[in-house]
Amino acid sequence: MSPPLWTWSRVAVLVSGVAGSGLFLTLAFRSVDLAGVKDALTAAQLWPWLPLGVLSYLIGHGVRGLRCRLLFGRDTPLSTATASNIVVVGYACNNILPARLGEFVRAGMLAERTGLPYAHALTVTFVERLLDGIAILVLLLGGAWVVGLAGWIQDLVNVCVIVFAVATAGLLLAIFASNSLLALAGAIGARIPAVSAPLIGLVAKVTQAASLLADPRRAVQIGALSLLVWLFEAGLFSSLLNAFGVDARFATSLLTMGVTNLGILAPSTPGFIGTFHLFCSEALQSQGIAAETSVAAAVLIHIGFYVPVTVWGAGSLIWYGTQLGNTLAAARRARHPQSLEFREGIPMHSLGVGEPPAPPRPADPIYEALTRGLLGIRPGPVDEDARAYATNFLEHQLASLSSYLRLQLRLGLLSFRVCVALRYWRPFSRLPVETQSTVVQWWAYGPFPLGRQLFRPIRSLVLLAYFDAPRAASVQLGTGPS
Amino acid sequence: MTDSKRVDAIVIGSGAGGAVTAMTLAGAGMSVAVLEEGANVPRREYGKSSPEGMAQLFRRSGMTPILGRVPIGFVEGRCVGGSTEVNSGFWHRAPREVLLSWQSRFDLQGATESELVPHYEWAEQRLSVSPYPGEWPKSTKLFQRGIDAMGWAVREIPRTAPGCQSANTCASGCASGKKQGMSQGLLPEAKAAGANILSHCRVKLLLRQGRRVTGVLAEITRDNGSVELVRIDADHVFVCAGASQTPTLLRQSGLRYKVGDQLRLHPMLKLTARFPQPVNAQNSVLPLLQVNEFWPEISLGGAYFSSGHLAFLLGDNWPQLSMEMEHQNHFASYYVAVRGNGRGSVRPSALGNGDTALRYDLSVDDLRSMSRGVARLATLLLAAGAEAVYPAIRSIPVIRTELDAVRWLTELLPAKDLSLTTVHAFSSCPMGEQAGLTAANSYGRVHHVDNLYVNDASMLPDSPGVNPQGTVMALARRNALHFVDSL
Ligand SMILES: Cc1cc2nc3c(=O)[nH]c(=O)nc-3n(C[C@H](O)[C@H](O)[C@H](O)COP(=O)(O)OP(=O)(O)OC[C@H]3O[C@@H](n4cnc5c(N)ncnc54)[C@H](O)[C@@H]3O)c2cc1C
Repeated sequence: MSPPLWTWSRVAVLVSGVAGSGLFLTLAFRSVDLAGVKDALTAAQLWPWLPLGVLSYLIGHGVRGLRCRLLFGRDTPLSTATASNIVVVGYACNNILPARLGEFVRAGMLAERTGLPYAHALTVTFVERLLDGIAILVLLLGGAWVVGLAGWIQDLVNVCVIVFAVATAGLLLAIFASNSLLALAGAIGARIPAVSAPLIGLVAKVTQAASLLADPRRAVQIGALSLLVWLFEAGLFSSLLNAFGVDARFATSLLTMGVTNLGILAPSTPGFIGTFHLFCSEALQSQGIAAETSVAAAVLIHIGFYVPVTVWGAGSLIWYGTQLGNTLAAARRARHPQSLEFREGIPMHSLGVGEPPAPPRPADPIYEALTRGLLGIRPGPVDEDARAYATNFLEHQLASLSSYLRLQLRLGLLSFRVCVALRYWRPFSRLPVETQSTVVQWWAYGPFPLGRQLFRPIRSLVLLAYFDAPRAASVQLGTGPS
Repeated sequence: MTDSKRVDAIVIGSGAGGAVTAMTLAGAGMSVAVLEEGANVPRREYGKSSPEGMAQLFRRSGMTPILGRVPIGFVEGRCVGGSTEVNSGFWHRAPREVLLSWQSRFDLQGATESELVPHYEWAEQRLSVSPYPGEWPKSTKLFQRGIDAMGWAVREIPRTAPGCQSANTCASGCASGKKQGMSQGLLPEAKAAGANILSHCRVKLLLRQGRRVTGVLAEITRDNGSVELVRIDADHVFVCAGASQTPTLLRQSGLRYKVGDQLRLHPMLKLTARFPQPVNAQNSVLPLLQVNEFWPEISLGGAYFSSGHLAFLLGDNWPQLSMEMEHQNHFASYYVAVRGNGRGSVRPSALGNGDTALRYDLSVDDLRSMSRGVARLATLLLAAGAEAVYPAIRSIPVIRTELDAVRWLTELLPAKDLSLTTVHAFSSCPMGEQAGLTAANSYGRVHHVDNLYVNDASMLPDSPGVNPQGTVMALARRNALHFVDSL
């Protein structure tokens, strides 16, 4: 059964949103001359700045789509265009629905399009928001560093630095030491039972989200795209400041964009009316821009922020024939997975699903070279099938080591590669087999204990697999005198 | 059963301890959920080559070394049935002396030899523990010849493999189904009694409120490899995740009192012997005898053999010994195991998603016993007619004469050069009434928690000096019955 549409908590969210918007609007317009604002707006040079700004903002949404696709994994049946459309639907819904319901619509549509569970789509949405927060903070701090700060914005930035440090540390912990984070939540829950379930649920979600970033290459790509998204959004601010003839540096736009986007986290009506205007105009004023111009710029930037995306989103909704109510309900159900399920007859509560593992990367040629080098120590022919089997086994086994040992081994292999490259001016994998054998023999059996230690697992695994390979026994062995 | 939203008992792990626990509790009418991290591998997938078996049935594909001044290769099972699916099935009861010392040192109650007899008998009957049914393979006969020459006490060790077909696939799962791993023996009975078994389900955290555990947080790996996090609520939790994982999980969950501080092992060194005649050890079950002349400090016995394992063992001195592979049909492998009283520990690793850091530092006693064991085993094998004996020691590639061998009766082997392994780990959550030494009471209830129990190899107070599965099962049965009686 779907939950009722109007619960007390939703009514409370709506009422506090309207009240918040009223309050922030009043604060924004309180001390400005409205006629001055009107004059500034009339004088604004919309061409070419408004289209340019909107274009920049919309390109940012395209980048969001790209990032979203990357977060879902390359194998997911989701084109960048579809991902962008869905992301925009989310924004559009936030512009017209209360309580950021757009996030759920977006997750719901993503789940429908990709065939992945709703819970996973929610996790992706969550990690996007987390990265957005961090990217906004980075750009805000960058902007602040360039243009300097005044008054309450300085305080805001100080708070931001702390939040940023904590969020980044939390994210790193969630990526590299997820169990420790869960253990911490468990320990707090053991002492304060009331927070146990929600806290563990939250940490579970964060760790699942963070696991999407565990692959360093992907994490860097996604991080870079996140920065790009918000640089393009700052482009909207920058362009429209030009429309008012304000000769501001790009850093001012970064700062304003950052402050505004943090500000709109406060309760407001759909579309962030009031919060957007107050924080945007205050940020501009803090940079010495006249109050009327600042408020007028805030109004225009808000229009640039609101209208195109809402139109694009509405168009996409119609295009995909999405039934908003159903999608929303499914996503919301996935968010509250407290319902009991039975698996193999065991009652349990789902707390979310992570993503499937990435497909294996192409083999690193070093493993083949190491195998050849080792097998070359023994005189006589080498069975190529068994050698290939041993290479695969070696790579698989070394990848099975715990994170700590894997790190040690990678560092060891790196030193090995560097030493060999310095000695022979060629990578180890490109040396002739005889040289590879000489090198391996020196490292694995030479006078140098660290080398022997590094090669101990390598030689053991290669020899075990080569001689136990399914066909090796007949081809290679058993030929001795009986 | 309490209500349908929670189970009466969660059993974490389905190995020797977990299977017995599940069967006993389910038999008493409780609703039981067995959560097993590994896969439920069908029998037709058993018996593959040892590399494939490792990837399929072992924790981290067998890449779980124990670090220390001398690193020790360690493996344990991770599949439905746990290590019993990959072990050799040798069956022992704990020696009387060992049980007495547990009583005196750890104040372990209710575990005297006579008190354990019914539990051993129960397990032996369930698993049809019996001697090898056929004619001994050559590697066993040669071993016997050496033992006779030395005049030492010896025993054929009964196994949990009635009707063993000598396929030599113990370590990659017994394809014939003759070996009574838990998936074959007890788990079907537990299931029939009503226990539910969920594979691919790794428990990450015990959820606690004050002095009680309310359930667990677990990861279920789905068919496409994605991982789902779930919460399962229960009235009682039995942790039977084995000697390395039980303390990891407890410590991870904030339970640290005497947990993981005392890991014990039977460090083991393998020697391969080349005989003048073909032995074809790769085609038969491993040698079935154990020398108990030097028990419980030192035992000498037969080890698994395959071409790959031979190469692996000769690998310490491969440039000199690689050509020995030409004679692989003439080789057989044996081991020296020592009781082990070095210092060991188990800790969850701060990095990673549930990694474990195992540590064990070989004691001087261990090294002395190991040196003597090598001397004795090498002498025995040479007396049995071996032309050469190759210990897995870097600086001692070969022992050719008895005089070379006996040198190690008085001298210590070069510790750094030993390639040690072990498959016997225990005592990482010792039980007993001596609160200053133990993590759980005499019946496995974890100190300071009302409804949490350890019931696997981690509960043994100290090293038993003999293969542990029998003792793990007997104690697990005793504890589970005690729990049921106390309800
Ligand atoms: C190769 C080998 C040969 C051996 N030979 C012999 C022999 O001949 N005779 C003998 O007596 N003993 C032998 N042993 C030792 C014996 O098998 C073990 O001592 C015994 O099985 C220990 O029982 P256990 O219940 O403590 O752990 P296990 O049998 O190892 O079972 C633990 C189970 O818990 C699961 N688990 C771990 N963590 C979690 C988690 N977080 N969530 C869910 N599940 C989890 C594991 O996957 C595993 O299946 C051998 C062991 C090995 C590895």
